[in-house]
Formats: sequence, structure tokens, C-alpha cells
Amino acid sequence: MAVVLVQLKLAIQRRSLGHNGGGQRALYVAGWVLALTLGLGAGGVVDQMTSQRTGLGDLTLVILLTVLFVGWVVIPVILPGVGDDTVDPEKLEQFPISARDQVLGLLLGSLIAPTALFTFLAVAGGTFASGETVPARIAVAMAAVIFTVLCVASSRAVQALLAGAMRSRRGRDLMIGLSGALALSIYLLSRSAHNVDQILVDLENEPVEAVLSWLPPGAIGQGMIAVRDGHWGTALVHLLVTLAAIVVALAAWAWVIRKRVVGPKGGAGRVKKKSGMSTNLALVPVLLESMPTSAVTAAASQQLRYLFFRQPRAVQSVVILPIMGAVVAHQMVSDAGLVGGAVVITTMCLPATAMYLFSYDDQGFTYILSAGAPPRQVLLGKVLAALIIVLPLMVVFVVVEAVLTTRWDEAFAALLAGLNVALAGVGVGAMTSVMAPQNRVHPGGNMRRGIAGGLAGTALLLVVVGLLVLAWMLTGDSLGAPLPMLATLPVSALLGWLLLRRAGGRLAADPWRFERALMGT
Amino acid sequence: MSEAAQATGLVKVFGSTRAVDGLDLSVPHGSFYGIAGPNGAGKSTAIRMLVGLLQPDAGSASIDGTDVWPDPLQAKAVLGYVPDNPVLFDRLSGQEMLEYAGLLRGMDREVIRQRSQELLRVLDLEGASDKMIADYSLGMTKRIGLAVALLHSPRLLVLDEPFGSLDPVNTQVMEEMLQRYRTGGGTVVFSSHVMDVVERLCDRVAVIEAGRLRAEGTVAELAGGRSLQEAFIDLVGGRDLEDGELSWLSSSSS
Repeated sequence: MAVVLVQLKLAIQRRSLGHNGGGQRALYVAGWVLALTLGLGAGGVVDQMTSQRTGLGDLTLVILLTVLFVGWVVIPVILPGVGDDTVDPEKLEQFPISARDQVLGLLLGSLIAPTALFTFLAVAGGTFASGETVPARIAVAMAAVIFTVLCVASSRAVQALLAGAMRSRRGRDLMIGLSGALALSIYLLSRSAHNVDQILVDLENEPVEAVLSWLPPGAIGQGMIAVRDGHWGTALVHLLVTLAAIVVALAAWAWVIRKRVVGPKGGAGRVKKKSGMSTNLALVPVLLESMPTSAVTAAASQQLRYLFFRQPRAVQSVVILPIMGAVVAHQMVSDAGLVGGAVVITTMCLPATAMYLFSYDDQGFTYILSAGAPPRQVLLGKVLAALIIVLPLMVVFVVVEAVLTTRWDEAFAALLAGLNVALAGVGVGAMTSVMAPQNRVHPGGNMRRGIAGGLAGTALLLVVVGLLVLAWMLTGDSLGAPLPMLATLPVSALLGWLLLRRAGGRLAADPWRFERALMGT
Repeated sequence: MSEAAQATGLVKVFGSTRAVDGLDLSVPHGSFYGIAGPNGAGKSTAIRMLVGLLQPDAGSASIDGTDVWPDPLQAKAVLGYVPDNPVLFDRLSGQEMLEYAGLLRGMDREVIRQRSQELLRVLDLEGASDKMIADYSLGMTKRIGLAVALLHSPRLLVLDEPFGSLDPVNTQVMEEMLQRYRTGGGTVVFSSHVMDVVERLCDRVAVIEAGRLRAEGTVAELAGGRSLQEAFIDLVGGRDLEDGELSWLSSSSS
């Protein structure tokens, strides 16, 4: 049965590639080539670490494997569409396949992926460490296989648990909070890791290695070290820790599959009901109540509802990126002043709010088409929603930083700088949303293209922001003077408007092509 | 006077399949018009071209005298469409979805509010008005889809398989609503496999097979003294099982 599921995954993948044309196929091949190249590179690093035969080298190896494992578990949780969802387990429920067989089949299928190849090659690098015996080399190769299985099994189990929890409103809220906190913790940790060498030296004096080497991913690293040193008994004990973790991950995955038949308890996803006496519409947020009745108001209201509290993935992005932005921007203020901080936080808020304007609509976009709504107005409404989020965040940041640093003299220039970036940035976001649609609710065959487009859009945004900052630096005495920002404001607004107009025109010219790309049909 | 809906020589080709192959339809104002046909006959494709959701490869379609293609926005303003599986913003509540639809069509807010509440009440969705559509059953989704299509009081209502997944009570409510809508001057076009519903509700019926119009006329004309079901099978050809085929179904599987 497991083989049948693997064949199913490969068949779906093959069909998807055939359906989406040569570009998709090229990206697919590039993914494998990249995984091979990076895997060999990472394998070289592991080889070096193992060959060093020093405490620092051993510690680095254990930490490296732990970080690799954490990446496997966390990235699919934080980034929608990154996980392997070629075969939807829900569609297997109608067949007489036991949870165990489903798990084994899906696990085997997930092992045939560029990410798994990268992981295997990275760890297998230890096979080539100098001075190893042949049995040790064989054992390390086996450890690489076991580590890859651990990563894939844990990642899929966490994704399954997450999907299970997301079935109820309470679970969704909890998972959003947890994954957000997780992403933020990793980010804050990485921010503190300015000097990796020093940190490793510091950690060597701490019981970090002792702790990590008994956790499943680190245990593999410690096992490899023990094999190298000829301590086969120790290696076996560490290996057993990892194997036990694999069993637990697979059991958790199977449990989620079995539990799905029971169904969620409660949590019907209710929203607060407005008073029957109110003449206001429940859909329209207070902020937009004074806007005239139009497709712009409808789209802005829907977008705000979706970005907050409705689509868990949207909430995640909209909350995490601004928090990260605030941290970076706060650190920037001491060097680049309030203007630098305002530019950074605005830039970091834009990808989550303005670059994936239709990504959470899913089939709702088809409704927009069937209702005959003018696509330009719908796009404008969604851009308006992005500005409604980004601008207040930027203003609050500037005011708080001005209070904390008493740089009130830079506040006006910072607000103007943030406004410049926001106005130009939403134009870039609109173009990106239309040119590279990405369905984040049901990621389909065009996900890779959407991700590539998103990266291109982010690069374009950075170029625009870079040019603005350069212009301010060339025309003003310092970044704290508001005049250059005031001068570029019409240019930024015009650029944003032109890009928005172009994006709207493209969308209106052939909304059906956009719909096909968004829905992956 | 122009027809409520008209299709002339509609063609749609998907790869090597001619899903709709030169279809002509003429739907009189104020009628209850049924489109029947076997699975894969091209009913949904034809309807999608008629309501401005799928561009035909050839031919033309008009709603109330307005050409649907190349710019379907004007035609969409005067029609309501309920697909087989209503496509809606499933993370909005039923009430919010109705409000969204009203705002999108530029309706007055007070009118949106009043009509939404009335539609939710009549369609027995009042208790679920603040629940996300994602949590609705298929029957509830179908009803909210109908409410969304009716909100702007369209002149033409097009429904694709409207009665599937509805319980008898809701089927009766929907039939009454559609009759009332027609009495008020509206025109209803719907596709269905369920011949007794077509027979009970429709003034005229078009039978489509292999993307072409096979027969068209009043229910009495098409039935010709038989039931519509029998007439339909005679038209499109029935299929009887050969003796011995699937005989293994008569014994319990091992």
C-alpha cells in the first residue's frame, strides 16, 4: 500500500508539471539541482566538523543537525505552501487504508523530495571524514538515512497536528499564537547571533552539547561522533533515542489521521454579532463606515476581515512580519535615526499586507468575477486595506521611538519617509499580487511560480526603497531633514499609482487568466 | 422585444473536446426555463458562457438584449447566478457575505441590511447568519448562494443544479421563492437532471446532448403524453444492463 501511495504522489506531481508548462518543470528540476549542490556543500561542512576531532567541531556538528531539524519542523508551520501536500490525506479517508499504511505511504512519498535529498547529503558528508574505518563510514551513512527520516516524519507529524488543531477555532487561535511565537523566538535568537564563533566558544563551556546530544536530532550527531571514536555502545544508545523519536512522530501522525474520523468538538468559528438595531453593516469595520457604498469599500472590508481573525495564515503573516520589522527598526534607530527605523518597519510590513492581495480569497475570487465587480476597484480596495494596516503601524512606531529616544526633531521626516515607502510599496505589492498570484489557502501547482514572483516583488520593493533613501541622502544634509522626503512624496505617490493602475489594467484585461493562475487550474 | 436570455451558435472547445457545439437558446421573459441533459452534455459550460464566466470560442450570448461578450459586466449587473457549488468567500459569515455582495454591486446600505435579514430569515439561515460559510453544510451553502444571487433583485436568475443536496423542506421553500420571483416578473433558468422537478416547475425545456440542442419546447410538447423522464430517455438514449453484467453485486463481497 505504501508503494501505491508513493506512485500516487509521483503521478500527481508528474501531472501537475505537465499541466503547468515548461516553466514549472524548469523550477522543479532547478529545485533538485539546488538541493544536490547545497547538500554536497553542507556535506562538506559536516565532513570538516567530523574530521576536526575537536570539542568545538563536535559541538558545531550537534548544533548544525539540531538547527537543520528545527528548520524542517518550523518552516512548514510558518510558511504556508512549503510543506509537502501533494497527496491530501483527507482524500484517502474514503479508502480502506489503515492509518499506519497512510503514514508509511505519505512518509515514503515525502522522502522523495529535494529537501530530503539535501538533508541526506548534508549528514552523509560525515561518511568522508578522514581516518574513519569502513564500518564507521557505513554506520554514518545509515545515520544520515535515519536523520532524514526523523526530519521528514517530525515535520509531517507537526503539520498534521497543526492541521488537526486548525479544524476548531480555538485550536486555530492557539496554533497561530504558537507558530507566531515560535517564528519570533527563532528570529530573535538569530538576531542575537552576531558572532557565531564566539557563541560556539561560549556554548562549549555550557552544558549545551550534553543536552542537545540527548535530543533526537543532536543524538544522531553525537552517535556519529561516537562511531568515529570507536564507541559503538554509546552510538547505539544515541541512535535508539532518535529511533524512539521517529516512532513517536509516526504515532502522533497516525493518531491525527484516526482522530479526524471523530471530528472536531464545537468551535464553529463564530464571529461577534452586531446589534439588530444598528444600521451599520457587520462586514464594514468602523474605520470604513464613512466610505461610500462601492466595490472599493466591499473589497477593503473583506480584506481587513481576512487579514485579521479569519484566515489563520494571513493573521500569522500580518502579525509576525511587523513584529520582526519593529525589532529590526528599533535596532536601526540608533544608527540610522528615526527615518531609517520608519523605512525599515514600513518595508517589512509591506510583503505581508500588500504583496499577496488575493492569496487568501481562494474561491472568493470566482465570486468577484461572477458578481461582475470591476477588478480595478476590487484591487484598489485591497490596496487601501494594506495602507490602513501599514500606515498606523508606522506612525505608532515613530511616535514610540521618538518618545524613547527623544528624537522628536526627526519625527516629521520619519513619518514622511514611511509614507513615501508605503505609497510606492503598495504599488509594487499590487503589481506582484497580479503578476504572480499565489493561493495560500489551497496551494496548488503554481505555488513555486508564486513564491518566485513574491521574491522578485520583494527585490523590486527593496530597489525602490533603496533609490528613495539614496535620493534623500544625496539631496539632504542629513536623513533627519524632512525637505527631501517632502520632495519625493509626489514621485512615490505617482509611482505607486502608476503601478496600481498598471496592475488593475492587467487584472481587468483578463481576469479569467488570473483566476486560473490563482486557483492552479 | 428582446428575450431574457439568448444564445446563438455558442461553441466552447476544451482541448479535443467540443463541450458546447453551436448551441442556440432563447429564453422568453418571465418564463421558468429548464435546461436538461445527461452528465457531460455541456449544460454547466453553456450556462457559464451565458452568465459571463466563460468566454465562448464562437457564437454570442445576450441577457435582456445586452451582449454578454466581450464585456460581461453590464450583463452581470442584471442577473443572479447560483452555481452547482456556490463559490463564495467562505471565511465571511453568511450575513457578511450578503453585505459584501450588496456593497460590491453598489446597493444602498439600508437596503442591503433589510434584504439580507429577510433573505436569511426566509431561507432559514437566521440562526447561522454569524457563522462562517466554511462551517455551513452543503445545503446551507446552496441557500446562502441563492440569497447572494437574489439580493440585488436581478431580472434573470440562473441556477445550476439548484435542488441537489437540499432537503424536501428547503426544496419546497426554494421552489416557492422561485415561483414568487417569477410572478414578480423575473425569469428563471435552471439546469437539472431531476426530471420531475423540471416537469413540475418549468414552462419550457431545452434538452442538450453532446453540446448541442437536442429538443426544445414546452413541457407538454416534449413529454408528448409520457412522463418527461421517459421522453428524456427516449431522446438521449437509455442504457440497460446486459444480462449477467455486475452479477457479482447480488452476492456479498468476500
